[in-house]
Amino acid sequence: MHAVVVDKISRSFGVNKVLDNLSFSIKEGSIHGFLGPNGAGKSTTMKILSGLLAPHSGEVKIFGESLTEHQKKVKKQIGILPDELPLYYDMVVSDFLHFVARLNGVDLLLIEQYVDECLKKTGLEENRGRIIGNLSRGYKQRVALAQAMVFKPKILILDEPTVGLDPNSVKEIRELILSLKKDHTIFLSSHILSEVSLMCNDLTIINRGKIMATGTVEEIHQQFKTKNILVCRVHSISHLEKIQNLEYVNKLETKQLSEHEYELRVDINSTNDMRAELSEAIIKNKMGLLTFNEEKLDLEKLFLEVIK
Amino acid sequence: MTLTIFFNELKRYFYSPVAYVISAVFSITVGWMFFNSIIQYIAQIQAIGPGGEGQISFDNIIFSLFGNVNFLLLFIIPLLTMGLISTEKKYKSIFVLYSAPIDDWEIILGKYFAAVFVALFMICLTFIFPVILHFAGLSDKSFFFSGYLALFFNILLYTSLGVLGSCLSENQMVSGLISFAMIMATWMLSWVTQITANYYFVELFHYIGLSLHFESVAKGILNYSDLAYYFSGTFFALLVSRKILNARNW
Repeated sequence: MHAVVVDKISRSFGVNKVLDNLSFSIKEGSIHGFLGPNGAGKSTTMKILSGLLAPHSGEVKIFGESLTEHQKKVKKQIGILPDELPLYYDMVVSDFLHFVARLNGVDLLLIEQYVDECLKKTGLEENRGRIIGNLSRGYKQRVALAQAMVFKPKILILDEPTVGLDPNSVKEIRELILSLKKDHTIFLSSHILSEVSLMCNDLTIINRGKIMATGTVEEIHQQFKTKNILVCRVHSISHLEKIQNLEYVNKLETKQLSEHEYELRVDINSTNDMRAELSEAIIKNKMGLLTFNEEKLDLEKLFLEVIK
Repeated sequence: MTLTIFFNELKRYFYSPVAYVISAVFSITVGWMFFNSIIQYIAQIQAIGPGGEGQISFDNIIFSLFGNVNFLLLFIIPLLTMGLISTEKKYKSIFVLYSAPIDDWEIILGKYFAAVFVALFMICLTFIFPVILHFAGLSDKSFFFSGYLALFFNILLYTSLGVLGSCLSENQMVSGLISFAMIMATWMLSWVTQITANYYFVELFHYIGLSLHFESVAKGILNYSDLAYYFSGTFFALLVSRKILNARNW
């Protein structure tokens, strides 16, 4: 089931069209990455998804219900951590979380329990009595994350949750987000591609307000595969010329890894799947096939390819 | 959720030094003004000689006291309200409110009533003056009732203009100045009547200016046009504030 369905949303600021017919969906229980260069429209999309902004056209459905038509009901299912931390710097951590929980309709009798659970999950128990403005950047980020989840929404929208943090805090926040996966559907934007590839099941790439690609990482790889390169390791390269002369081989690079191990990087001049043919040819020529892989673009290269 | 926002704002007012500092400055200034009125009253009686108490009305002291408090509100209300929305916008904490399942009205009203409460709290600090005058032998206290009622209506109107000013800028100093200018304008509109002889203009500015209504209520003459003036002005300012918050969706 889809937790979020975004259907042809558009949004302009003055004459500047920031989002143009954006459509994608987020599966329930997944961590969905949202990538795009600066000014691509990521933050605007996230604000629209959480009801902070209204789209000028199109519709957002959360668990099948329209965000515009059932705003009050639907908003209770969404927690957002925007790119700029939404904090009351003069408030005490636990008071702030009480306020947010109450604001989002948590029953008075349950608030204490919700706040305690949230403080525990986010590692803020020891700081519950401190004024938010006096906390370090990492802990402020945790409080901002805590306010997004204190009322137990089904969907968490996290806009660059690790930006500006030291490496240790980045690691902790990532682990925290991964631990939230079992209870929430997470929609996460980040500039750090390695972070997205580590954490996300699905991906949407956006550029200049338009969807460039959406789906699983594997699907996007397939969609944007411009080169078909097969990498294999063999025992011997005695009949290398026979491989080189195959009609579907464009280019062949060899690298010796050890005395009896070589890596062959075969550039296929067709977008068809030639793995069966090539592996058969290697075996037939008694080159001693050890491993056989399809070279994939890493996320950074894929991202650059997609937004090109 | 208006109550949740109301109590949260109150907590923030009273957890920070803002409410205490403003209250202290207000109390000291009003106290000093009251003291001066009494001194002037005594001086006038002494100038007339024995039996002067009966010739100079005590009401003048009371009217001047409420006039002075009203004058101070011109500065106090912008100070109280300037950060209500502007700092939320500046520090992005407004997203907490925007993303919650609440209407923009609830945000505006919660903050508005909190500021009204703090302003009324300050007014309560002046209750010591009627008590002093009671012990000094003042028997007719109806002036106090009407005077405080006039201040109450003024606070409702001024605070709504303060909330509106706070919605207009992310900079709280700018918001404060806008609020000050709008509250000042409610006074100055009455002055326009002195520079024109046109009957319709005079009537119009008399009505939309605050002085006529304040004096009327403070003297105990409360009529429907005064109530309509205060409530429609307050409602209009809050409605525009709400529209400004909602402008994010335009």
